[in-house]
Amino acid sequence: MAYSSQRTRLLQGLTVAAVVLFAIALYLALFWVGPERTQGEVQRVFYVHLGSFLGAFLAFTATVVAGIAYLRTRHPKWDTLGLASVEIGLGLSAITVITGMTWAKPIWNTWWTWDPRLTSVAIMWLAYAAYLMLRSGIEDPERQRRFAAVYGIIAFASVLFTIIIVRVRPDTIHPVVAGPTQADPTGSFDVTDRIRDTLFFNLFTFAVITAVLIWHRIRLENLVQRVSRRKMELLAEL
Amino acid sequence: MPDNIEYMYMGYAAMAIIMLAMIGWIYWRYRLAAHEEQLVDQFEAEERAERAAAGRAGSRPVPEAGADAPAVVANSPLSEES
Repeated sequence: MAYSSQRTRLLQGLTVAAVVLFAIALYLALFWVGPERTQGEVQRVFYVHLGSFLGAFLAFTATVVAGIAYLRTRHPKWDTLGLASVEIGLGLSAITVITGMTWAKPIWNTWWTWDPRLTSVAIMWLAYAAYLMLRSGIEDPERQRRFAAVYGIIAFASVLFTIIIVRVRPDTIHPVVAGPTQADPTGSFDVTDRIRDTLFFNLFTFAVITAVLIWHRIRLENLVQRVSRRKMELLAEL
Repeated sequence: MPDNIEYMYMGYAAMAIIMLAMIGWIYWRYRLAAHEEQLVDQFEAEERAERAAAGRAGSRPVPEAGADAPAVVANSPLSEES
């Protein structure tokens, strides 16, 4: 498959934009915004923690869209989008988990606890890791794509569960940044202007990074499939 | 304010490692696939050249008697002279 030069230029432009945005986001998080009064310097991890979770959420949402589109059209391009999104989503949610652990150690005095939110995010990560393992275990390409589409849609329940759990379980110790909770039914977003601006900039940056990474991963998958097809054709000719 | 800057460094370092691993993994696999495609191109070109050479050999005209054909062919019972 040959890509139009316009699309390639757009991808290159987006890649450069993602790098620049990321550099600015790091500057804002590490230097521009001050440390939080009660938590200290470790609170700066929060911008990356939330940003990477947003990226993972967008990637897993793309998997659902790709799954539905594949089941409707049976076009392999949707399967490629689903696979690319899961891989990138897994990487980003790994960042969420590990940055959360580095924050938890000084704040909760433990790296990990089986809190409802932490447990649900672990289940979410394992559900998507299983997607890749189970998918690679199916040889028939049509069955593999159909399975991946259905599994990608069902696995999204774990993402919704992770988002909702802190809002419905009163026994969680995980903080809720925005929206209503059991403790505060009216909801609040009690942060300073600088913290809010830095957070929103990081969220936007991670959304762009996610899109760029998925796009690059799709191009890689297209190349791998093309090479594989050409190898098969060559073997058939011999 | 608590002194916990080392955990912040740890968090950002972990993020950098995972990000670089993701980008490096995509880049490395892209290079590998591009290299494989080059090999396939090369192999296809060689195949085409071999087939073209074989095609030329198959349609080569019969050399004229007495030119560079061996004597035994020229004097064979099937030659025009005989």
